[in-house]
Amino acid sequence: MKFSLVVFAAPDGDPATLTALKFAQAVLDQGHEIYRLFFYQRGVYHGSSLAVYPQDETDINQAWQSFIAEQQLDAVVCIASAVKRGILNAEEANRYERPSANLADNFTLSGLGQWVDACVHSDRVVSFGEAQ
Amino acid sequence: MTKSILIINRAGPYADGRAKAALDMALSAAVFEQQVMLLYTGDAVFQLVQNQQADLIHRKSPSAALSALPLYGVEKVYVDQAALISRGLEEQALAVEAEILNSNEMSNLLESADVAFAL
Repeated sequence: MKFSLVVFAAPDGDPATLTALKFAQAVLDQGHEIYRLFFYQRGVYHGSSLAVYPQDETDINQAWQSFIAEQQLDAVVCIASAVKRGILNAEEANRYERPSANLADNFTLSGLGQWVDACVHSDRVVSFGEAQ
Repeated sequence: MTKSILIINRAGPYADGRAKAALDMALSAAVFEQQVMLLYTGDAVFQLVQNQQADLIHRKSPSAALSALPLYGVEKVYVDQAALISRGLEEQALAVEAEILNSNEMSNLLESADVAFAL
Protein backbone atom coordinates (compact mmCIF):
# COMPACT_ATOMS: atom_id res chain seq x y z
CA MET A 1 0.00 0.00 0.00
CA LYS A 2 1.15 3.55 -0.69
CA PHE A 3 1.16 5.89 2.30
CA SER A 4 1.71 9.61 2.60
CA LEU A 5 2.19 11.45 5.87
CA VAL A 6 1.21 15.02 6.65
CA VAL A 7 3.12 16.36 9.64
CA PHE A 8 1.50 19.33 11.39
CA ALA A 9 3.47 18.76 14.60
CA ALA A 10 6.48 20.87 15.45
CA PRO A 11 9.67 18.86 16.14
CA ASP A 12 10.12 20.36 19.60
CA GLY A 13 7.68 19.48 22.32
CA ASP A 14 4.98 17.75 20.32
CA PRO A 15 5.10 13.97 20.81
CA ALA A 16 3.26 13.53 17.50
CA THR A 17 6.52 14.06 15.60
CA LEU A 18 7.99 10.88 17.11
CA THR A 19 4.72 9.02 16.52
CA ALA A 20 4.93 10.06 12.88
CA LEU A 21 8.53 8.91 12.56
CA LYS A 22 7.80 5.55 14.19
CA PHE A 23 4.72 5.16 12.00
CA ALA A 24 6.76 5.89 8.87
CA GLN A 25 9.38 3.34 9.91
CA ALA A 26 6.66 0.75 10.60
CA VAL A 27 5.06 1.41 7.19
CA LEU A 28 8.36 0.56 5.48
CA ASP A 29 9.13 -2.36 7.83
CA GLN A 30 5.78 -3.90 6.88
CA GLY A 31 6.70 -3.75 3.21
CA HIS A 32 4.57 -0.77 2.26
CA GLU A 33 5.69 2.29 0.37
CA ILE A 34 5.88 5.93 1.39
CA TYR A 35 4.85 8.16 -1.50
CA ARG A 36 5.56 11.46 0.22
CA LEU A 37 6.11 13.22 3.53
CA PHE A 38 4.46 16.64 3.60
CA PHE A 39 5.48 19.02 6.39
CA TYR A 40 2.87 21.71 6.91
CA GLN A 41 2.44 24.65 9.30
CA ARG A 42 4.73 24.21 12.34
CA GLY A 43 5.86 20.88 10.92
CA VAL A 44 8.12 22.88 8.58
CA TYR A 45 10.62 23.28 11.45
CA HIS A 46 11.64 19.67 10.71
CA GLY A 47 13.36 21.07 7.65
CA SER A 48 15.73 23.29 9.62
CA SER A 49 19.37 22.28 9.51
CA LEU A 50 20.17 24.73 12.31
CA ALA A 51 18.26 23.24 15.26
CA VAL A 52 20.53 22.31 18.17
CA TYR A 53 19.20 19.99 20.86
CA PRO A 54 20.57 19.57 24.39
CA GLN A 55 22.82 16.50 24.67
CA ASP A 56 20.35 14.58 26.81
CA GLU A 57 17.46 15.04 24.36
CA THR A 58 16.76 13.17 21.15
CA ASP A 59 17.71 15.28 18.15
CA ILE A 60 14.41 14.73 16.36
CA ASN A 61 15.40 16.91 13.39
CA GLN A 62 18.49 14.75 12.87
CA ALA A 63 16.46 11.55 13.32
CA TRP A 64 14.04 12.60 10.58
CA GLN A 65 16.79 13.87 8.32
CA SER A 66 18.75 10.58 8.60
CA PHE A 67 15.60 8.53 8.02
CA ILE A 68 14.69 10.55 4.91
CA ALA A 69 18.22 10.27 3.54
CA GLU A 70 18.54 6.53 4.23
CA GLN A 71 15.15 5.68 2.76
CA GLN A 72 15.45 8.25 -0.04
CA LEU A 73 12.00 9.63 0.72
CA ASP A 74 10.29 12.52 -0.99
CA ALA A 75 10.13 15.09 1.84
CA VAL A 76 8.28 18.27 0.95
CA VAL A 77 8.14 21.32 3.20
CA CYS A 78 5.22 23.67 2.49
CA ILE A 79 6.84 26.77 1.05
CA ALA A 80 4.27 29.29 2.33
CA SER A 81 4.42 27.85 5.86
CA ALA A 82 8.22 27.63 5.69
CA VAL A 83 9.32 31.05 4.50
CA LYS A 84 7.28 32.87 7.12
CA ARG A 85 8.90 30.71 9.80
CA GLY A 86 12.38 31.35 8.50
CA ILE A 87 12.97 28.03 6.77
CA LEU A 88 14.57 28.96 3.44
CA ASN A 89 16.50 27.24 0.71
CA ALA A 90 19.18 29.11 -1.23
CA GLU A 91 16.74 30.18 -3.91
CA GLU A 92 14.25 31.71 -1.45
CA ALA A 93 17.01 33.31 0.64
CA ASN A 94 18.20 34.96 -2.54
CA ARG A 95 14.69 35.97 -3.63
CA TYR A 96 13.83 37.60 -0.29
CA GLU A 97 17.36 38.91 0.29
CA ARG A 98 17.91 37.03 3.53
CA PRO A 99 21.47 36.47 4.82
CA SER A 100 21.41 32.66 4.72
CA ALA A 101 19.55 29.50 3.84
CA ASN A 102 18.88 26.67 6.30
CA LEU A 103 16.76 24.02 4.59
CA ALA A 104 18.27 20.62 5.39
CA ASP A 105 19.51 18.31 2.64
CA ASN A 106 16.93 15.99 1.05
CA PHE A 107 14.02 18.35 1.79
CA THR A 108 12.21 20.25 -0.96
CA LEU A 109 10.28 23.49 -0.62
CA SER A 110 7.06 23.29 -2.59
CA GLY A 111 3.38 24.16 -2.47
CA LEU A 112 0.15 22.56 -1.34
CA GLY A 113 -0.12 21.09 -4.83
CA GLN A 114 2.30 18.42 -3.58
CA TRP A 115 -0.13 17.62 -0.76
CA VAL A 116 -3.00 17.32 -3.25
CA ASP A 117 -0.84 15.09 -5.45
CA ALA A 118 -0.08 12.92 -2.41
CA CYS A 119 -3.80 12.60 -1.66
CA VAL A 120 -4.47 11.56 -5.25
CA HIS A 121 -1.65 9.02 -5.52
CA SER A 122 -1.65 7.44 -2.05
CA ASP A 123 -3.90 4.72 -0.73
CA ARG A 124 -3.73 6.28 2.74
CA VAL A 125 -2.83 9.79 3.89
CA VAL A 126 -2.25 10.04 7.63
CA SER A 127 -1.75 13.31 9.49
CA PHE A 128 0.16 13.81 12.73
CA GLY A 129 -0.15 16.58 15.29
CA GLU A 130 -2.65 19.38 15.70
CA ALA A 131 -2.64 22.07 13.09
CA GLN A 132 -2.26 25.55 14.56
CA MET B 1 -7.68 10.91 -10.97
CA THR B 2 -10.22 12.65 -8.77
CA LYS B 3 -10.68 12.00 -5.09
CA SER B 4 -13.12 13.44 -2.60
CA ILE B 5 -11.22 15.39 0.04
CA LEU B 6 -13.01 16.40 3.22
CA ILE B 7 -11.56 19.24 5.27
CA ILE B 8 -13.01 19.35 8.79
CA ASN B 9 -12.81 22.80 10.36
CA ARG B 10 -12.84 22.84 14.15
CA ALA B 11 -11.21 26.15 15.09
CA GLY B 12 -12.63 29.63 15.48
CA PRO B 13 -11.64 32.21 12.86
CA TYR B 14 -9.01 34.03 14.94
CA ALA B 15 -7.83 31.42 17.45
CA ASP B 16 -4.77 30.49 15.39
CA GLY B 17 -3.87 29.80 11.77
CA ARG B 18 -6.14 26.79 11.31
CA ALA B 19 -9.03 28.59 9.59
CA LYS B 20 -6.68 29.94 6.93
CA ALA B 21 -4.73 26.68 6.61
CA ALA B 22 -7.97 24.76 6.04
CA LEU B 23 -9.13 27.20 3.36
CA ASP B 24 -5.71 27.09 1.68
CA MET B 25 -5.97 23.29 1.55
CA ALA B 26 -9.52 23.44 0.19
CA LEU B 27 -8.65 25.95 -2.52
CA SER B 28 -5.47 24.08 -3.53
CA ALA B 29 -7.35 20.81 -3.84
CA ALA B 30 -10.03 22.56 -5.91
CA VAL B 31 -7.41 24.12 -8.21
CA PHE B 32 -6.12 20.61 -8.87
CA GLU B 33 -9.66 19.54 -9.70
CA GLN B 34 -10.37 17.39 -6.69
CA GLN B 35 -13.83 17.10 -5.23
CA VAL B 36 -13.62 19.22 -2.10
CA MET B 37 -16.00 19.11 0.85
CA LEU B 38 -15.80 21.44 3.83
CA LEU B 39 -17.34 20.65 7.20
CA TYR B 40 -17.58 23.25 9.98
CA THR B 41 -17.96 22.00 13.51
CA GLY B 42 -17.24 23.31 17.01
CA ASP B 43 -16.07 26.93 17.17
CA ALA B 44 -15.35 26.79 13.43
CA VAL B 45 -18.99 27.70 12.81
CA PHE B 46 -17.95 31.24 13.82
CA GLN B 47 -15.81 31.34 10.66
CA LEU B 48 -19.03 31.42 8.67
CA VAL B 49 -20.75 34.31 10.47
CA GLN B 50 -21.21 37.27 8.18
CA ASN B 51 -20.12 40.90 8.71
CA GLN B 52 -16.98 40.21 10.74
CA GLN B 53 -14.82 43.27 11.45
CA ALA B 54 -11.51 41.45 11.62
CA ASP B 55 -9.52 44.60 10.80
CA LEU B 56 -10.23 45.84 14.33
CA ILE B 57 -7.92 43.09 15.64
CA HIS B 58 -5.51 43.34 12.69
CA ARG B 59 -6.66 40.07 11.22
CA LYS B 60 -8.28 39.06 7.96
CA SER B 61 -11.86 37.86 7.99
CA PRO B 62 -12.41 34.51 6.26
CA SER B 63 -15.33 36.02 4.31
CA ALA B 64 -13.37 36.95 1.16
CA ALA B 65 -11.88 33.47 0.81
CA LEU B 66 -15.24 31.88 1.63
CA SER B 67 -17.01 33.88 -1.06
CA ALA B 68 -14.38 32.66 -3.55
CA LEU B 69 -15.21 29.00 -2.88
CA PRO B 70 -17.90 28.68 -5.60
CA LEU B 71 -15.53 30.26 -8.15
CA TYR B 72 -13.10 27.44 -7.40
CA GLY B 73 -15.85 24.88 -7.75
CA VAL B 74 -16.18 24.21 -4.02
CA GLU B 75 -19.91 23.96 -3.53
CA LYS B 76 -20.12 21.38 -0.79
CA VAL B 77 -20.10 23.24 2.49
CA TYR B 78 -21.56 21.51 5.52
CA VAL B 79 -22.27 22.75 9.02
CA ASP B 80 -22.71 20.76 12.22
CA GLN B 81 -26.24 21.51 13.42
CA ALA B 82 -25.40 20.89 17.10
CA ALA B 83 -22.46 23.33 16.91
CA LEU B 84 -24.77 26.04 15.54
CA ILE B 85 -27.47 25.45 18.14
CA SER B 86 -25.13 25.35 21.11
CA ARG B 87 -23.68 28.70 20.03
CA GLY B 88 -27.06 30.32 19.47
CA LEU B 89 -26.46 30.80 15.74
CA GLU B 90 -29.17 30.69 13.10
CA GLU B 91 -28.61 29.52 9.55
CA GLN B 92 -29.45 33.07 8.36
CA ALA B 93 -26.37 34.40 10.17
CA LEU B 94 -24.06 32.43 7.88
CA ALA B 95 -22.17 34.16 5.08
CA VAL B 96 -22.21 31.13 2.77
CA GLU B 97 -24.73 28.66 1.44
CA ALA B 98 -24.29 25.59 3.56
CA GLU B 99 -26.07 22.37 4.26
CA ILE B 100 -26.86 21.77 7.92
CA LEU B 101 -26.12 18.20 9.05
CA ASN B 102 -27.13 16.20 12.09
CA SER B 103 -24.70 13.72 13.62
CA ASN B 104 -25.86 10.77 11.49
CA GLU B 105 -25.46 12.81 8.33
CA MET B 106 -21.98 13.85 9.45
CA SER B 107 -21.04 10.19 9.93
CA ASN B 108 -22.23 9.46 6.39
CA LEU B 109 -20.25 12.43 5.07
CA LEU B 110 -17.06 11.15 6.72
CA GLU B 111 -17.66 7.71 5.34
CA SER B 112 -18.17 9.09 1.83
CA ALA B 113 -14.83 10.91 1.70
CA ASP B 114 -11.72 9.29 0.21
CA VAL B 115 -9.46 11.41 2.42
CA ALA B 116 -10.27 13.53 5.45
CA PHE B 117 -8.23 16.09 7.38
CA ALA B 118 -9.27 17.68 10.66
CA LEU B 119 -7.87 21.11 11.45
